[in-house]
Amino acid sequence: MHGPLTSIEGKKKRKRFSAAARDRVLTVVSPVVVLSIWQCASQMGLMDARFVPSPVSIATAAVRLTQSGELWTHISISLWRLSLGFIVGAVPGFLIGLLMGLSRWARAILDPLVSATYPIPKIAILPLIMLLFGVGEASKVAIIAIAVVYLVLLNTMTGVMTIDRIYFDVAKNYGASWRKTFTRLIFPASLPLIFAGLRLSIGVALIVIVSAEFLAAKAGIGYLIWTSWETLVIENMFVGLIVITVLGVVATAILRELEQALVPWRRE
Amino acid sequence: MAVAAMSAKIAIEGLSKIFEGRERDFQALDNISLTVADGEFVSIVGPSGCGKTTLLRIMAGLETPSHGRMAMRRSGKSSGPISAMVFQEHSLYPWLRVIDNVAFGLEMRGVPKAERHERANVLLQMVGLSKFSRHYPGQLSGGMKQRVSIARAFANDPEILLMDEPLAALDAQNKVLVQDELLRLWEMTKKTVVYITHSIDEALLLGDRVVIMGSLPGRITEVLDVPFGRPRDLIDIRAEKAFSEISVHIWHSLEAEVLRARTLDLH
Repeated sequence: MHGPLTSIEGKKKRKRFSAAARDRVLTVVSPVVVLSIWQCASQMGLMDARFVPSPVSIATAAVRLTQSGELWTHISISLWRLSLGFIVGAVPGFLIGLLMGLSRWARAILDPLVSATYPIPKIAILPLIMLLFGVGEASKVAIIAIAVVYLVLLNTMTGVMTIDRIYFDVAKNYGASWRKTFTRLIFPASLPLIFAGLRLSIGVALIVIVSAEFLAAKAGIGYLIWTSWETLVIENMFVGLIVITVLGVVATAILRELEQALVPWRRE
Repeated sequence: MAVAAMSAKIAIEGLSKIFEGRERDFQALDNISLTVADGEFVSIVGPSGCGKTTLLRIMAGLETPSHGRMAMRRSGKSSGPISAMVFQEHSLYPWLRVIDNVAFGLEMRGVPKAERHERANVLLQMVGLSKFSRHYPGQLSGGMKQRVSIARAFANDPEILLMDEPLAALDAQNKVLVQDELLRLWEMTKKTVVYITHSIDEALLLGDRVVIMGSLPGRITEVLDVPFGRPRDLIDIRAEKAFSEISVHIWHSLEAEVLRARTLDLH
């Protein structure tokens, strides 16, 4: 009698402490544990502080950089380049992708160009971009835009092309105008893949902006990382690394929220 | 004959459809002639590949015939378009809420939002889905989705409803329930219906007439009058002797067609 009762209670208890809650706790606990081990190892002299500074000294550097306003300068310039490059790349990427998805003609004409140039590593053409746009801001914005345009273009095109035929039959049967077919069918149907393109773009844009700032910039997170390394202020370099990571995480989170707001039917 | 022609809602004469293929053409429909009266419920039954869906798509204006003609006569009884189609599964827009799916045809015709929602709500009530008006189709079961599809077509208030195996994917119990709802809606609105199915039972249960089609090429082999009155009880009707007799007759007719098509297929 006793045995089975306790086992049922045990099951209930496990249910109250859901798997999701456990996951959340673990996500917080695991980095804390890693950081603690790291800090201890540094203090015990197990790691060379010149190359791998302790978490506390990195935090101190972060506070110092924040107070001097230096960090914000770098963040804001990188953010500005990223956002502008994103818009300049995503808008034509969407429009051309749409055109290629809808028109066989456009596809036949543009697809060879897109396929041939897409595999070029974007950072490889930075010298060319600087030749065309100068060493100033325009070249940074341009290189991000170029990285973003392909991903948004290809995803939008696929999104449009994979719309089920039956949806077009429905639109036609109910006498939808071209404008309504676009706003009620083509655009919402391709939104999930457009967002997939934007998500991929964030990662690529971060790689490109940091690399470009390594090579040719006087400010920005990439510049902070690179000059800190050159001058062996390794704490600052780590601050830069953390900031760029946080930027990526925050941008992805914002995009996810936006997607949930605009693509509510995809939830669950 | 003259009287019949006068009340004809749909007149199809010598209609053929040939799909041009890369290697050889495929004749989907051959010399189809059919007249559907105003307010009539006509079932079309036939084996897969007999071109019944193509015939319906031509009626819906989604395909053009290769030869022959098809005419639909407006009676001016309804405010809506001449026809609306109820598609097979998965034709609801997943990104629109149920209410907006039902109101879709009205929106396309420029009916203001408040008015079209009001109308859509009436239809949702008729198919018993008022509670789900704010849901997305992905949150509904297959049976509910098809009821929404039917509501969408009725909401647009067409004179003719063209239905392409709308209940084929439903389980047996759901099918009977939705058939019943469909019949009630039809009896209330007295619209002309062309209903495609591969189920003999369904064709008999719902239709005033059953058109039997054969394949290779797709053509009409027989047209039967269904002797059951209205309104019909979909369960009781199955117990009638005439039901099983006609159903067996259609079965033999289709079987002969399928066997003939198989021998043709071998060549």
